[in-house]
Amino acid sequence: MIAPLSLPDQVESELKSVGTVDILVGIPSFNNAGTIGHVVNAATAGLHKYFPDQKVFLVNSDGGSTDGTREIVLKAQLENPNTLIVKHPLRHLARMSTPYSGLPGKGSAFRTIFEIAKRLKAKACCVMDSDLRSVSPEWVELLAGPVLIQGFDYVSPLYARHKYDGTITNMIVYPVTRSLYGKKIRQPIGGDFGFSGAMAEHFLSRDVWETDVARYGVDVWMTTTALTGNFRTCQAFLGAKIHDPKDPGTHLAPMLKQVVGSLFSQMEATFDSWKDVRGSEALPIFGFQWEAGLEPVNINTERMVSQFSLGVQELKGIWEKILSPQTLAEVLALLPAAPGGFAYPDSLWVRTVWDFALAHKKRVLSRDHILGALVPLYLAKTVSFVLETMQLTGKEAEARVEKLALNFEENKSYLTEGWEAKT
Amino acid sequence: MNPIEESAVVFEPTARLLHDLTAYVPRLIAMSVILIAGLILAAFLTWLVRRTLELSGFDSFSRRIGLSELLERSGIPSPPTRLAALIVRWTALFLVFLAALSALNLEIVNELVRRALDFVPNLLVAAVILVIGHLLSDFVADGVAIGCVNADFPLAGLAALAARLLVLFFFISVALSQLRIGQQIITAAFSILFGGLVLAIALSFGLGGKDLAKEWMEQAVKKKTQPPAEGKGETLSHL
Repeated sequence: MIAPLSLPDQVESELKSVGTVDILVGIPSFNNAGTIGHVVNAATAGLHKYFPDQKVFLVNSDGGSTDGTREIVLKAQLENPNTLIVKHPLRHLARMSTPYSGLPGKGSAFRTIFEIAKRLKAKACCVMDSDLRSVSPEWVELLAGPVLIQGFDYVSPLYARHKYDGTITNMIVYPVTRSLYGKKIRQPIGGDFGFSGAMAEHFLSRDVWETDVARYGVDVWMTTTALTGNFRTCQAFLGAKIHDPKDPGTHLAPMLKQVVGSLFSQMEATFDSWKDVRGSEALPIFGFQWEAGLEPVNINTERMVSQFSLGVQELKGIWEKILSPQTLAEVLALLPAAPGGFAYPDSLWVRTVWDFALAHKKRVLSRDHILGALVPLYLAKTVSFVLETMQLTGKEAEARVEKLALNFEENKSYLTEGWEAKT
Repeated sequence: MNPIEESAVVFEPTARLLHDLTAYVPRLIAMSVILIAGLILAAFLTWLVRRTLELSGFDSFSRRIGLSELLERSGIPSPPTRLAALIVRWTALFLVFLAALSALNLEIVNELVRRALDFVPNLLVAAVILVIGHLLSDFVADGVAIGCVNADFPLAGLAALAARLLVLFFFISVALSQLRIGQQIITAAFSILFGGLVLAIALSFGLGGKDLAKEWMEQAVKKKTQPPAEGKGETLSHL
């Protein structure tokens, strides 16, 4: 039994005065003063426009921002309400900004949102990242609508993305999640989700709030929990997703360790749910799908190949402990390749990922080292994908991702057999 | 010398020897009993340790934590279970031997036994320190190699080797100190080596690479404050 999260007295009394709500929008934040005003306004507009008759509430769960994020949330107002074509007069949207308690991270921020949703008996909730530049009022309808109107429990996002945007998702998280749990859920770690009050209560009841889930692994954990708990799940097409710019090169290794580490940990925790699953099925999709104009992505493939080459030179001994002899031999044979002819075959990549998952489960090395050793291999697969799809359209590149995901499904027995083997 | 005195000269030492031997017989019997019982006990302990480790999957565990590999690299191909049993057997035999010698109650033997027993804990602690040092050096070297490769640092292998040697040297120094071997020399050597290394790095970076450091820091600050201009720099978003 998990002890209920205690909220600050002021929050408690504010919630008592609110009573119950139909829809709750949650926005986790940490020093997002530059973007959160837009997210709050978009959510406000969405609630006014699409849910005028529902009782709604907006909560910002903040991690101790020092740049005035919380003040912006409380003061944000639609600059020109006339931009919304609605019959009814706009009401003031009840909102709250509260610091969360617990381990610092998005998961703890979400826990506070779940707790507030539970106290307010919210029927439908949605959460949106606070560093988004592309969020529009329609997101609220698309994330909360399927729950409120169609009775779904969990709404996962679908975005229009550049073919090279989200390569960790495309090369690892999507195909692994799909092959494990048998659902074609395209953005398992999208960051923006819709869920029912019952789902929020279920999240709260899980004993994970002192683990990495509270820090950074909450996205994949929520998706996995929904899929393995047989909650009704669907996807909603939200259009383009544009974040605050970050330097991807600097953050790659820690980011990959966090994402893939969380994925592998979930894999370990849910073995009984996925061991017998074969194949995959599509999920219902809401929202009109359109081709968004996407910003070009610059990729330095030479630098990525050189990093892989450095890995071959220096990490062979470590890979020996993780990869099967055959997989290692094939990986080492990838170099030297003709310029522009570098190719990491799908079947080899699938075995690479499964070998890393098995090594992570069996702790053949420190888990941090295992995940760190995956980075050069991931870069190699990404380069291979980029070179292969350079002349392809977004749709054609997406078909390549689907082909890779299918390969993961077809070779799942490699994982299950290794998982159950004694050594 | 009369015949009685003559016979006394001959028989007295013999009688003394017989007396001494008679006095030692119980001790010799005790020593034999200790030896026989000790051998049986050592054999039983060896069997018990081996069986327990086999049943608990100690060999698989050793493979996972790298102990098997460490042993193989050190020229000991035996499975860790067998090695542990051997260590228990020879330790037990050694202790049995010391106990058996103590039964003789000879001053010189007692002193020898006392000194040997005094040294055993130090020996065990030194061995444990060396094993931990070896495992930690592997861990640190792996971490440095992975970190350097992921930072695209071309001298990853060299950095990992330096880290491994530094850790090993530190632990060997501690182990030797534990064995009370050349304590002062080792402390001085470690201080000189470590201090020299830090000084060398500081000098080489401070003098040799000051321009490079300046450029690197400027780039780092620029990167932090400005997103890459459109069309320039890598903009691949991995998530």
